Amino acid sequence: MKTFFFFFLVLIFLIGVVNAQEEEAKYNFGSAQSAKEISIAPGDEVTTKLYFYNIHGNRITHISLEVGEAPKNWDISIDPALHEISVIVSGVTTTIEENLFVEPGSDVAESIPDDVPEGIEYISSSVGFVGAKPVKIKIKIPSNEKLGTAATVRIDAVAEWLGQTGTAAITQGRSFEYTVTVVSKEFTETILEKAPEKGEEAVEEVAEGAAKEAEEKEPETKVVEKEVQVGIPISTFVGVITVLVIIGIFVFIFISKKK
Amino acid sequence: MFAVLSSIIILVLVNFAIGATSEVTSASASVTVNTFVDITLTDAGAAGFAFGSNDPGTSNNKEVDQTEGVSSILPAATVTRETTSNVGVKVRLKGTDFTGGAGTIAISNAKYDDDGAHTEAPETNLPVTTMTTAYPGTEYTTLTAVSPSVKIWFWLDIPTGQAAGSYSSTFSFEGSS
Repeated sequence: MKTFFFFFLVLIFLIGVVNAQEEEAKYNFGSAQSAKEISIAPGDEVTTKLYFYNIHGNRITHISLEVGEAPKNWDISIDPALHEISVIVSGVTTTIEENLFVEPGSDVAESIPDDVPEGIEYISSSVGFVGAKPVKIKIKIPSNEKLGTAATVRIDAVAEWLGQTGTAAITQGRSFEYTVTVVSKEFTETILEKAPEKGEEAVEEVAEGAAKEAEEKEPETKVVEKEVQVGIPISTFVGVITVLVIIGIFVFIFISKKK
Repeated sequence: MFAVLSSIIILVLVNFAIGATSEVTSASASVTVNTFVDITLTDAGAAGFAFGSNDPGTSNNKEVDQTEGVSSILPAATVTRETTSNVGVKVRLKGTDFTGGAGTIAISNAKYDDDGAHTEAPETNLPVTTMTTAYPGTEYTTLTAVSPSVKIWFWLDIPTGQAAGSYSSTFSFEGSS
């Protein structure tokens, strides 16, 4: 009887091994981009994050990232940087370049666990909180960068899987684009020119005609000094009047009592 | 005295009422929802795409793990948009030229389709498309929550006079929002 059970267990084990070997390779590449529009002041540095996860795959996803597009004088860095690692694939040691790898079975939880493993951040998704690996994208722009400049920064990612034996290896590619706008640190607002009112424009068009055409040929920016008009809100006005009336009533009562 | 006090109270209330309605301040508000793209490539059979051993001058050599025919349900690969994705995912394909033997096989000798019949006429779904070294300008298909996956079949031509040898390439799938 014992012998029978022993062979039965061995048989189940062998069936399991065969099934595991026949399982189709699933190459999963999940990513989340936290911001697509970034504002930055000249000379400043901003850090944004990309997240990578591997919920549905059954192979380790090796990800390499590079800056695909950015203004030449901007400093873009990726953390972790591209580096070499040694991997043993089916008993053979291989060296590859990557920024990070994501193992299959990324955690999906209803809430962020108390013990979050080092190097993992939980991000909220449509299926719950996903344990993902973050990558920091640092964007530093020169201090003399012109205000109002809007540029595209593109990070290209390639996901690879090792141990493929076919003629053609399979990879996945993905690009992450950011629109970066250069803005001032402090808020300022200056009115350069008063927009003509519709009526005025019509009159000018009739009266000035050719003169206006000449002006249009040589456009120039005029800084018009304007007197700042401070408006008093209605409530403030009514409040002041009310207080004055109340004071008047008290004065009237006081004088009446004295008499 | 009662009239005086009543007047004062009424005036104060009127003041509050006007103050509450006349000063409406608005502020802009914004929110960014993060972009999730999650794609799984299911590779049938042995890992990677294999086209077997072929003679020069042969056409439409199929990927060995796929079965052919318009009714085939076994492709070389299935591209699936997973449920964590919150955008439509545009799928594009590209490949590198086959190298490694005594020469090169241009990637333009490879083609793909979303069914197992590259000669299907008229084409019922997505067209047979020749592989290129750069991603095409337009996507092959867009995967959505309603239509979350596409099956892909591959074929490779071996040019006449192609030198013997073992050649390899890389097929890339781009899934972008």
